[in-house]
Amino acid sequence: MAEAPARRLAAFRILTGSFAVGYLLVRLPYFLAVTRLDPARWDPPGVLSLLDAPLAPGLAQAVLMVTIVAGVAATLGWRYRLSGPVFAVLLLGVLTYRNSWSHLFHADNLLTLHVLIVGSAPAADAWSVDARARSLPESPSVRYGWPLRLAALVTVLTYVVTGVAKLRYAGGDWLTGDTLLHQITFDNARKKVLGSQYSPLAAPLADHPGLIAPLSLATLVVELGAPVALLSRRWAIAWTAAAWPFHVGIVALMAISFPYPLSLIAFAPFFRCERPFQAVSRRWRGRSTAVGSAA
Amino acid sequence: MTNRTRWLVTLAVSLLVVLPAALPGGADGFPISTYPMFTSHRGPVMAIDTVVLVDDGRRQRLSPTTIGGTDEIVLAAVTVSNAIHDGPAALDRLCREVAGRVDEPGTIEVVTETHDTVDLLRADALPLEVRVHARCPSASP
Repeated sequence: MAEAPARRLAAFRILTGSFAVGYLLVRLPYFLAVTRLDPARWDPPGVLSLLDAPLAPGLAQAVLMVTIVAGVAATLGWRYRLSGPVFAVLLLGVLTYRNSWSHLFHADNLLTLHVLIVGSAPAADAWSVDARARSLPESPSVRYGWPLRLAALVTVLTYVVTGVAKLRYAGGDWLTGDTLLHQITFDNARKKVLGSQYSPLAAPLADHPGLIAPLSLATLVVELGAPVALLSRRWAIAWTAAAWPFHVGIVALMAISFPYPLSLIAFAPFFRCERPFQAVSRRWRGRSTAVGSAA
Repeated sequence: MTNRTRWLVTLAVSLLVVLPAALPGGADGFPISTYPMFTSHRGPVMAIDTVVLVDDGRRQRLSPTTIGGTDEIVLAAVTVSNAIHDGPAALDRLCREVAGRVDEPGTIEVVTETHDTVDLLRADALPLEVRVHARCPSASP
């Protein structure tokens, strides 16, 4: 079992919490629109599958607002023993609700799983409102390392499952590039027909089908090769350096965004993610000291 | 929590994430998924379901928000496809719902357009075929 300092898990709490709250706020008009969709389209998965009908719009909007408030509390580490799990469960509910209208999106899955892990962990023992009155646990512990390792493992497994799906559903056509080429052109054509933004690179790419097979193969290498990220920090850097451009490529070719991995926070559990916070903190303290001396 | 418990939780979570994809017939869900995106078999000529506004013979494309109630393109597309699949009552319901969001005069048409997708992207080619499933007047006079 890997050990880690309390600050590393705290940093991951702040990163995932900030991202989730920011995501809900930036996409608030969309999440509010979802609460007003025609109940005839209701087809909930997972934890909401027992609900026969959607919530009344007002109640759904209230749950959304409570989720944002709980998210702020969890991110700040205020009463985290309550706010951490409550935010995780509410976020699971809100994002499941978003996926309850006859189509499953796949951009929120990893964020939801990470927030569930962080929300069940002692992630507010440092850098939190709760920890202000306590002394910081100095020595690294498996209490803080294990949740991060679990989050890293979940990241890896989701990529592997995605790669397996390509072989399972598309088979050899994926390796020849046919599936990817037609997926890119279909997806962009559908965007154009449905009056949405599409990638200007799709048509030129279709004129150079020789480029597609290497892209298909590279996709599989990134997805099925994800377990190497668990071997060491160097391997994690190498894999992340391959996985992130892969997501940039999806944006460029299909105008489809997976914001969580694009933000790099999805890959944070592989790294000493407390270091940027410490650097900012040192710089801030240095500046405060300098101002104090000058005064 | 003991290390033994941690190992057990790790094993349980790993199985939870992997099993739907590993088992035959495993269904997609949320947040546990089989991640089937981008794996469907498509061809160069594809049928695309959508809703358009027709006024004086001029066909105008509508936004995902107008069609599906949110800015999610895929949700709009699936909504139209499901209504076509579900039949006249669902088509009529969708048509009237979209008509309520259009503030221009004309006729709302729920259609399936068949396109050569590359020609459409490259040269704005017209559909090879258009099949109209439902029509209704827009809410605007």
